[in-house]
Parts: sequence; structure tokens; C-alpha cells
Amino acid sequence: MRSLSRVLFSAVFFIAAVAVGVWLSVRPQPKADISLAVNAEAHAQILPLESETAAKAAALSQSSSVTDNSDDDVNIADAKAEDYKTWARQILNNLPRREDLQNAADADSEITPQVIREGAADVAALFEYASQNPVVKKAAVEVFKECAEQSEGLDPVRAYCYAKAVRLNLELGGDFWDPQSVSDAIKNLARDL
Amino acid sequence: MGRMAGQLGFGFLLVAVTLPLSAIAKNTTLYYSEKVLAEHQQLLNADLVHFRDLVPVDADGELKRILKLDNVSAVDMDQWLSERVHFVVEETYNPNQSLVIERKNAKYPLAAVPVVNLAANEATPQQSPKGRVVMSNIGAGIYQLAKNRQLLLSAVIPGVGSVSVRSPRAGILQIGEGLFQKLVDSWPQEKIKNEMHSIWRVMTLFHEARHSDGNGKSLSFSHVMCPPEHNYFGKYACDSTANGAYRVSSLVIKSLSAACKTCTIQEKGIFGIMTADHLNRILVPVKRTPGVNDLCRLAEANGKNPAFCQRQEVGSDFELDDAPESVEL
Repeated sequence: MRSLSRVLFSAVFFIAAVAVGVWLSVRPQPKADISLAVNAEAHAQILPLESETAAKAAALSQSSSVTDNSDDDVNIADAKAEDYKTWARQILNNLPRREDLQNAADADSEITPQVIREGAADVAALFEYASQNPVVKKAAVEVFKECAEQSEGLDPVRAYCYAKAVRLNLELGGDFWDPQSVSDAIKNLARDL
Repeated sequence: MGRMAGQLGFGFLLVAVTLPLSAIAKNTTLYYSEKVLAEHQQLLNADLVHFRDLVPVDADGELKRILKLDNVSAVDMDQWLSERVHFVVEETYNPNQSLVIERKNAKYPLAAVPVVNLAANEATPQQSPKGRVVMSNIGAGIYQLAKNRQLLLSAVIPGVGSVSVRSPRAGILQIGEGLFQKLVDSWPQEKIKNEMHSIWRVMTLFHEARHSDGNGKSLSFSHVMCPPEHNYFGKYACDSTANGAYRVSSLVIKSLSAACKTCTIQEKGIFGIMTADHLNRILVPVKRTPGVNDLCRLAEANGKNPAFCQRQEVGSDFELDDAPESVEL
């Protein structure tokens, strides 16, 4: 009798464990979390400057995976946008300026100097992240607008930012951005970017 | 010297009669000084092999027009390159100690000699921040030097022999560590072997190859000093022609970036900014044909016609003859 009840108990426990396992594997998952985690990891590999931001994003991603509540999704999106802005602020503050290029040892070089390449890597990383995480696109438009309007910034970087601001803004249903604060020469450089 | 030239001539004749016409000089072959590091030779050769597998993109037809290609393909671009670059020497190669006078009172075309800043242009190699040489077309610089002094010069290259510099097409390039640098400081060193870096080195070859062209005032398409208000004010880092080396490299980066199979969005973004950097160094209007992704087309599709899109299309007024001149023998 005792052994029969042990067998029954084991069977019930086994069935319950399988049911919990099945439920865990089929329950809905928040969509953006995986891509954010992947991107955060990728950014951490290539841009040490942003590693703190990436870590924050990864942590945010992990904590959000315990729920699929829509209010929380909104909060996550807001938090991601805020996190993106913080990261972008760090980059915008450190973008190369005209005087950096004038002082660069390789400014005479025929290749694109190091200061421009570093700035390029940073703004291109911002765009890469925005293009893979639609929730930050709105924030990205403002970031790229600010970058394009930096009067002391270098023309090629400003041109790239202008192109991305225009294109992202149109993607979000906005108007064609054509401000006076960005010269026609820079806009012309941006045409193919 | 004469014997060497004779041998080279015989070798060429032998190749010419044993290969079908279509096979001659299709592939760029680089002959290296024995002092160029073997790993650098391997990497640069691998870059050219990789390049031949790419499918170049030319959405607006400008690459085809500027390079005067029959078709925009890796084969045709390789042919173009093969006519302009031939020899590669090491960072420490000193032309001043390697030149031999073949002939005095040599006759050169009586065309205008361009304003040349030998110090900042071709005579000294381009350097990266840590003082590393990237790449320089010293063959074009030697030709200009010889022309200015009415000499016929040849350059002695260790392990290769003596190369007679009879036109800017001598194609002698000086390379150094800078060519094999990672493009972004924080990236791991292994990245120099990835596709993006490979394309960047090939683009640099195309840029230098353009210095092998030209005659009279377009001779070697030398760079000029950038004017006040320019990002590169005071540097010999600009072009006063619309079909010079920066035009060529801007078109090649754009084309090969689009063809890149493994480039990330970030890497393509860096290429985009490099394209803008090279275009920005051209001081004269550049003929442009709006491609499908052109911002002006986008503006038009959204009912806008911004001022920068209303500029008059400029023809080829600022493009100079690119046919190479040569010493008159």
C-alpha cells in the first residue's frame, strides 16, 4: 500500500513538473528583450565608452523578462529611450571638433584622420542601435538633429547625422527636416548617406 | 640599366604573345620590395583576391564615368588598378638614396607643371597619428621631380631591380604600418583582417592609383592647400579638380561599402562618413546624378524642394584630362 502511494505521488509530481515546463516554454515573451540583450552585448564588445550603458540595458532587459504587462512595456520603452539618450549625450559631448582636427597629427594624411574615424564609429553605433531598436527611434531623431547642428563639429560627421535625422524622422511620419542651422554644403554632402 | 630594361621588355613580349589579349593585365599584380614584411604582402594580396569577388555597386553611374570603365565590375576595376600600381616599397625606403640618373636633359611635354607641394604631397609618405606610414604614390612624385629637373630617373627597389620612371604610371607605392592599423582604437587588432578593413585598404590603393594619372596641370592630380573655413584649412589635403584622387576614393568606398557582404551597420556608417570626408575635400562643384536613395529624391517624394536640391547641375567643367603624360624618348 505504501509503495503504491509512493508510485502515485511520483507520477503526479512528474506530470506537474512536465506541465510547468511546458507552460514556461510556451508563455508569451516580451519581444524586444532578446535583441536588446544581443545589441547590448555587441556594443560592449566594440565600444568601451558605452559599456556602462550596455550593461544597464542588459540589466533592464533581464528584469523586464519576468512580465509581459503592457504598462511595463511602455515603461521599458521609456527606460530604453532614456538610457539611449544618456549614452548619446556621452557621445555628443565627445564628438571631434574643428580644433581637434587642426591639432591632429594625421590631418595632412590623405586618409580620413583618426579623430573623424572615432567620431564616425560612435555616431554610426548610435544609428545601428536605433535601427535595430525601434523604441528609441524617436529619441534618435533628436540626437541626430543635435549632432547635425553642432556648429563646431566636423562636416562629414554632421552630414551623416543630418542624413540620419531626416531619414528617421520621415520613417516616423514627420516632415522633411530642412533647418537653416545646417548649411547647404553639409546637406549636399549628406545626400547619399 | 639597359640590360634590365631589355629583359623587362623581353618578358613583356613573351607574356604578350603567349596570353590571349583579354587576359593581359586584368589582375593587379604587385611586386614587392624584399624589405616589405611578408605578412603585409600576404594581407594586401589577400585584399585584392577578396576585392575580385565583390560586386561593385554604381547606383548613379559616376564610378563608371569617372574611371572610364566599360562596365562596373571587379574585373574592370581591377584592370584600371593594374594599369596604375605595380611596385610596393617599405616604410623606410628612401627615394633620395635609391634614384639613379638614366639620362640628363630629358625632354618632357611642354605642358604646364602643376603646383606641387612635394613635402606634403607625394615625396613624403602619408602618416597616421603615431607617425606610421599609410601609403604614398612615390612613383608619381619621382616623375614630377625628374620632370622639374629635366632628368630621366629610375628607382632601385631591393629584390625587384631598377624601375625606369618614364611617366606618372610608374606605379611605385610606399606602404607602412599605418595601412595595417585598425580603423577604430577600441576595436580588437584582429579586425584588420575583416572585410571592412580589407575594403578600406583597397580603397586606399585606388586613391593612390589616381595619382598615376594626368598630364600638364592635371599631372598626378596633386592635392592643394585647403582654404580658410575648411575643416582641413592650411593642409595639403584638398583637390581642385572634380575627378582627382578624392573623387575616385569617394566613389570606390561608396561602391565597395554597398558591395560589402559582412559589414555591420556601424561599419557602413563609418564608410559613409569617409565618403563624405573625401567628397568634402573637393573644392569645386562635382557632377552628381541623384541615385534612388538620394535625399533630394526623398524630399521630392515628400512634396519638398529644399534649397540644397535646387542647385544647378554642374557638368564636367572641373574635370581635367586624366591621360598620363610621359618623357619623350
